[in-house]
Amino acid sequence: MAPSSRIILAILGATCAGLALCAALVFGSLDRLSLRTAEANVDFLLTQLGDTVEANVGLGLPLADIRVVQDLIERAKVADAQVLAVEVFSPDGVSLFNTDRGSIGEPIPPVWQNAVRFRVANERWRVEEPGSIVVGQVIRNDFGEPVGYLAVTVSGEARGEHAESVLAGLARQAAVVVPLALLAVLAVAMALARYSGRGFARLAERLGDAQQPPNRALPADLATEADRVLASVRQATDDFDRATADVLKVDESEERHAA
Amino acid sequence: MPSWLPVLLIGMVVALVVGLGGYLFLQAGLHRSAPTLEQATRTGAAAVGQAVAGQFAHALALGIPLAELPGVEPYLRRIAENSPQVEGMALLDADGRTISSTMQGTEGTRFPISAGGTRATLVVAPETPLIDRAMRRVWIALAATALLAGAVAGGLVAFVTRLHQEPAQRRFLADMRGIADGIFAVQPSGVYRGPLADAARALAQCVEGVRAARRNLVEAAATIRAIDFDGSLGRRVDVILQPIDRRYAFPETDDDASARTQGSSVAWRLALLFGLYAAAFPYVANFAIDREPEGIAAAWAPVLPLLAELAAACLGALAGATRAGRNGGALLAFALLFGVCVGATYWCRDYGVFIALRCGAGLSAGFVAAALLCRYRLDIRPRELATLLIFAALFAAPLLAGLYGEAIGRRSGFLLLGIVTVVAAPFIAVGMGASENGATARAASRFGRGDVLLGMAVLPAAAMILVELPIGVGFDDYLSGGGAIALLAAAALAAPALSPLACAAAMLAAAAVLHLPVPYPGVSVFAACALLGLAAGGMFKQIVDAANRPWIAIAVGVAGGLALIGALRHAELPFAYLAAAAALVVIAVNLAGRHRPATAGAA
Repeated sequence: MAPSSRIILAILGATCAGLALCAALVFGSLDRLSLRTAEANVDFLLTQLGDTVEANVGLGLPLADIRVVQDLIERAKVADAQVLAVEVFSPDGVSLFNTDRGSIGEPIPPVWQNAVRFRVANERWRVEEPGSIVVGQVIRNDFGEPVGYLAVTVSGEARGEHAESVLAGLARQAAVVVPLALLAVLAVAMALARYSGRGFARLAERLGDAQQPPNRALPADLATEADRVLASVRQATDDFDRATADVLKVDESEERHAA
Repeated sequence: MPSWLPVLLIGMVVALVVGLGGYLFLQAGLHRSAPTLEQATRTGAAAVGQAVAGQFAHALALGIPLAELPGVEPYLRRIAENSPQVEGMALLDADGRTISSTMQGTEGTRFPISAGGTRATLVVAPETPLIDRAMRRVWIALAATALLAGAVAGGLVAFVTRLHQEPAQRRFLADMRGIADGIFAVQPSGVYRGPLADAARALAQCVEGVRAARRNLVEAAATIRAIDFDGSLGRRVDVILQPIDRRYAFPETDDDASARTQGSSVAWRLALLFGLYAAAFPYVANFAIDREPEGIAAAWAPVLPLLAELAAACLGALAGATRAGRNGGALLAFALLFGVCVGATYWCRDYGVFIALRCGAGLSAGFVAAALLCRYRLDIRPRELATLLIFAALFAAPLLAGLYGEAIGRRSGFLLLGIVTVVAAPFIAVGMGASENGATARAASRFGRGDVLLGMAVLPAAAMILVELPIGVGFDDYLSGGGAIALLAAAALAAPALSPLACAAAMLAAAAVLHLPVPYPGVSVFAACALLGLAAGGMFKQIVDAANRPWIAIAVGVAGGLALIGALRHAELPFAYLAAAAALVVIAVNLAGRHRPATAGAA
């Protein structure tokens, strides 16, 4: 493969990678935005529930004994169709109140425990599960100690549909944009490669057919060197041919001398 | 055509095409996404409105008149500030007069409040600040991607031209000049297709005509000598041959073109290896502090994995420089191990495991780099190699990592990097025959003043790249982190050769920019990065030829930077002190060098 072809391929690769990165950035940003929007909608609910629970904890009651929490979380679930479940669990990871009453007393999933342990940022943590998103908040007492956690599970269906829709849009756009972009870059790169290599291409023609007058002008520096080379080659060939003839004449003159 | 013109043109065209492509992708994405997001935002605002309206209805039901409700405006303001989907709220009485409002002219969804015989209305203006903010970031990211793609494409053209085409053209033109002067030799160009190869073949054909004429002469002379019994003919032949022999030369051609090609190929492999290695720079320190290590001071948490990794990389380099580095299988195994260690970080949650993985990555990358450097002869000048490596490792790779970190996140970024490394491992480690590296003569030289200055120039830049940025502006914002590293590298590449005092001045300026109060702290970090890059690049270009052990100097500089930033953080001192201290050491070393006679190998 000619070096220029390799460079052109590499440039096309860089263009392709750049476009793929653009698509990934657009998809990632819009997907994150969709998630953030869903979270923002849960924020208000979480803040209200959290404030109410913390107000009760602040009265000195142990979290497990605040029975009103069960009513609060059930009302919150009923009020918003996007909310699939609301749960309050202890620092040990045992469910204390749950809109699914059958789960009370059971341990929370390990992935939640990991999220609580590693991913608490600004008092919030998040777990993305298939088909749902769980957003949680730390519940603290008046001394700032965590006494439990509140978790709201919202439907991730809308997010999934949004992601599919964006992907489909991007794929459709990519089917048009990528070939056109590659063609544009290919055309420019090939034109440049041809233009930058034309001096040597003409030089090859000039050197290859020295008998013919040059059809196309060479760049000045190459033309000078080509003329010098051709002159030198002609001179050397003539010199060697002449010397060969002279050497052979030595033999003939010897024969004449002997005769 | 000047050699920079194709570089500029290709760079601009690729940047333009990628930028335009990114714009069209964004439009397509928004076309699908905006209605859903706006609907979700409106739904969120409606939920807030209903809840707040319910609170007011509760108050009315208790018999409290709205006009006498205390703290309505602060309450509404707090709700609006804490609800990203709400721009503003207003409470209107039954006649539509504003009782309280968080902003002038609030318009939006209306929620009737009716209780206790009183009527009122809550107006909620939904807003999309999330979308606006996200769009600003996407625009910046797309612009950075276009810039990066253009820079990479332009860089490819520049480096291929510099490393492959220009040397081949220089050799060809030298051959032409030699032939014009009667020296009939054509060196293999190492290029087998394309206009230059065609020209070289045409030139070889010209030479072949002369060689054929020469062969005729040699045969004729040999024939005469064969029948020359008393030497008289030979003497007459010699008289004919001598002027020809004096005038023309037919040296044997250098058949080492493959080694030359190989030398440039090693440079590309090193660039790829260093690029893959440095792509993790925007992630490592912030990933380390997110592991929340127990029993380790917070100041040292981001530094310890990097120090351990550097030590492992040095050990790997020592091993790679031995006979083990000549083993192709070992080379491939270490290249694969490097990828596995990086990719496995995706599953890592423990600080200790993270340190082990970074040590594995450092050890294997150090081994492969040293093996490539020691095993093969590099047909490239140190300055060109440094430019290529800085471009790949500190400009392109961190910016690319910042961008895909923005797209897919940090953990997935590690996984992607690991996969790419594993895929690239055969290209890095396989397919080259061994050739001896003759460039070990300077290894015996001792550590000199040039090395100290180089280490000092690297020290603050390394601390900035590896720790200060990833845990500062680059924490949870990998694009800013990667962009700042790329800015530092761009400044280093663009820097002219600077005297040690000028470099020290740039470092002091960086310290001042960081330390003095400025309206925009983020801007000061970027300005400091540019100044530190200028200092490091300027110093490197000034003294690289005088440095006896540049690799060791760089390693010592990096280690010093890491240790000092750990100590500074432990003492709760700002980064500016580190840059200022390095500048003072550079000034002191420079002054000491003036008063001392130059030693062998020193600058």
